[in-house]
Amino acid sequence: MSWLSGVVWPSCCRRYFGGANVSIGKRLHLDGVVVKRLAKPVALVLLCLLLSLVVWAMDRRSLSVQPMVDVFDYGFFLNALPFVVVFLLLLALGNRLSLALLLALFLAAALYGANYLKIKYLLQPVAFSDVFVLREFHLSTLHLLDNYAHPFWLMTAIVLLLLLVAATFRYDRRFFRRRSLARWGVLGVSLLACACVVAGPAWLGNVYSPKRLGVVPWSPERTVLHAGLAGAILYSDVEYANALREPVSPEAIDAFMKLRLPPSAASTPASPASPTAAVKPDVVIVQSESFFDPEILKDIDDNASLLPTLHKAMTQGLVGAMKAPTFGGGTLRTEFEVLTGVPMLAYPKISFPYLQINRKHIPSLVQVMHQAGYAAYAVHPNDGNFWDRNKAFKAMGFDHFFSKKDFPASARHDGWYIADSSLTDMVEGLLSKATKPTFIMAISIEGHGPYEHVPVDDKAAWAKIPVPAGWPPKAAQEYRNYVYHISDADHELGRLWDFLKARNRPFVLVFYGDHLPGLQYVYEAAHGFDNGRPANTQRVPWVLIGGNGARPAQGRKIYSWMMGSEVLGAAGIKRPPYYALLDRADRLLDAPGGGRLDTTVQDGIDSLARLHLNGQPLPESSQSAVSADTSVAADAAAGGVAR
Amino acid sequence: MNRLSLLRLAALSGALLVLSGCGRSVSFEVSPMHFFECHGPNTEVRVKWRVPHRIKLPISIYVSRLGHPPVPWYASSERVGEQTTGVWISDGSSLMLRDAHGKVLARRTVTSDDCPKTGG
Repeated sequence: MSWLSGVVWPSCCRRYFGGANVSIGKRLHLDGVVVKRLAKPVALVLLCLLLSLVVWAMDRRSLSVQPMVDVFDYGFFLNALPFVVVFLLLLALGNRLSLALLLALFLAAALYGANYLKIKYLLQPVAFSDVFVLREFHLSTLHLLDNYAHPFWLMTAIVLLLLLVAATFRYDRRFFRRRSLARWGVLGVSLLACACVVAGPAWLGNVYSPKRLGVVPWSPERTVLHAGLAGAILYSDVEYANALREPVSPEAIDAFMKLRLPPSAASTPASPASPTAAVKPDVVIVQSESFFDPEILKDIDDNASLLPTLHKAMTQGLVGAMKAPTFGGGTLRTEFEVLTGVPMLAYPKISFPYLQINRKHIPSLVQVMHQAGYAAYAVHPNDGNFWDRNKAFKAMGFDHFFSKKDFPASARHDGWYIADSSLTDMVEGLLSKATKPTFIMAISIEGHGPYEHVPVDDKAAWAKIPVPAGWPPKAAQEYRNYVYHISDADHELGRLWDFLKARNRPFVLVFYGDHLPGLQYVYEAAHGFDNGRPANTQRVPWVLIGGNGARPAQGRKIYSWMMGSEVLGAAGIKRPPYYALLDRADRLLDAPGGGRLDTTVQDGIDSLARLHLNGQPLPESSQSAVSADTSVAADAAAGGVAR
Repeated sequence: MNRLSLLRLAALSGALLVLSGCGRSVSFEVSPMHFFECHGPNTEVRVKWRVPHRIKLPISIYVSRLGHPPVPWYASSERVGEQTTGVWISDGSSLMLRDAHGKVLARRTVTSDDCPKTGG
């Protein structure tokens, strides 16, 4: 181990340990060669630990929490890893200990300084997706950052850093000896670590696992608290690299394309809602928090008085049943499927799409609406950072996302959150001010649990909610709490319906529940569901109003990833190729005996969705299949006329 | 005086300073500091404080949710005291003890974990 002999420290340390050119190995010469050989590796390990502690202290400071809270937890080590790797890499490359340490610390200080400022001004921590800002670094970016970080201090820090770098080069001795094997070893290991981070191999997902790191998917701040900022960023990086790596199966696509639509199920070349319609309808989608019809419970027979609008729509044949990809929570999964047409089943490793798909551009229904000349807004009366919607909605292309901060301070609350009536007020306000056809995605929150104890505004209305006899008090209370808030949602659906009708403009109004609620006592007390299946396999209602009766929802069972295609069909907007295939899947499954095709359709759509999300061209066979469907429909229509 | 002696003197002075502070430092205890979210995402905590005579009264206790600016919660002209919060302390909530000038004397952060699963 040639590099261990002739160990020389930076000048300051050298003097402290006594006399120039005297190595630490010689000063600690207790047992001859062994101590001398161990001195440098041990010192290096201690320095790495020191670096980790300093970095953790910076991390805690940037979050404004107790210094060193959670130190030596799993997140502490994973957070330190990238800085240690950078330190070792710089040491191997530059062969200067102080310089490497200094630069690693500077990098950490810059990152945590940015984090501190971002939390201070934007109330959210630095995220992996911020790399997109740096990718497009130009003068305006600099000007923007200039508003947050004082240029004088920034320049002072840079000058100071340059002076220190020059000083370390002048006074710092080489750490490794020439042709040192250890230097190559350190270089190799650090480069390998960097390559792993860039490539994101699957095993790294086990190291940066969400459970071990304490990742809280809906709260980036809490994730940083548990995992450290660098740990959280690397977690996102690894997730990003792994979660989207799902193979496209040409066989599955081929099998899906070969399915033939029966003539009765094929779409006619000129659908009822023609794309050439003179006035484009306004399109409003309401995703209602935890909304389902309790009538599907065994013990509940008739709740028409509690959900009158839903029942009115049912009698008009405007209600179907929708399979949402989540139960009890995970709203964003349904939302993602509706807005992108991409089934969550296509990406089984993705639990939280907005967080795990860190892309600047996500193909979505919004872009299709834009191309059709629509303005597109999202409205959700909760913190815009929740589930990272701010970022995701921007990537999807919404013109503006109206979140809680855009609601008036006087907005009515009911339950734990802002009431559905305030959401309707906002939607109506936007439509009233619209100067062109408008698409609004409204996401409610009033019906959010927990339901065991939840505040209610109208206690008299709450008390009037009938509960089946013999239910335990806890189940009765939970049921009343839940139904009280979905009754409000139903009332607001009716209000919005009336408002849209009164405008004398064509409209498409879609309403659906994002998932069934995670009720603790009700399902058991009600003796389960009418169909005998468990709660997490039940469907939510979906309502489609307007759209010239293009394809009424009447009793149709769909998946939430089909909703975008339904909306386009109802609004008379020409479906782009991917949405035409979703429509095809919809019709195949809806046709008599379509249930048998479920696996073939799902596998085919999953592979097509992967191509779609990656911006890859769809196979030519998809166009042929859609054309063939249209011909079948045309033939059927011609035959019908002839008869 | 050479450099080594200076360093030794500095180290000795530092140690003396630290020792002289013992017994007269600010005490700020929060209990529990860590909880499991078995009864929901929020909990209440007991806060105890003791401040030496050199600290100007009244003291105040600020609370901040993670990523949000601190807001005042409690103020007292007592050097020793304790108080219980409501059930609104969540993972990452910090409590800060401040003197009359607003200087942060101590900061404690409460953290939480998911409720451990029982049984299979």
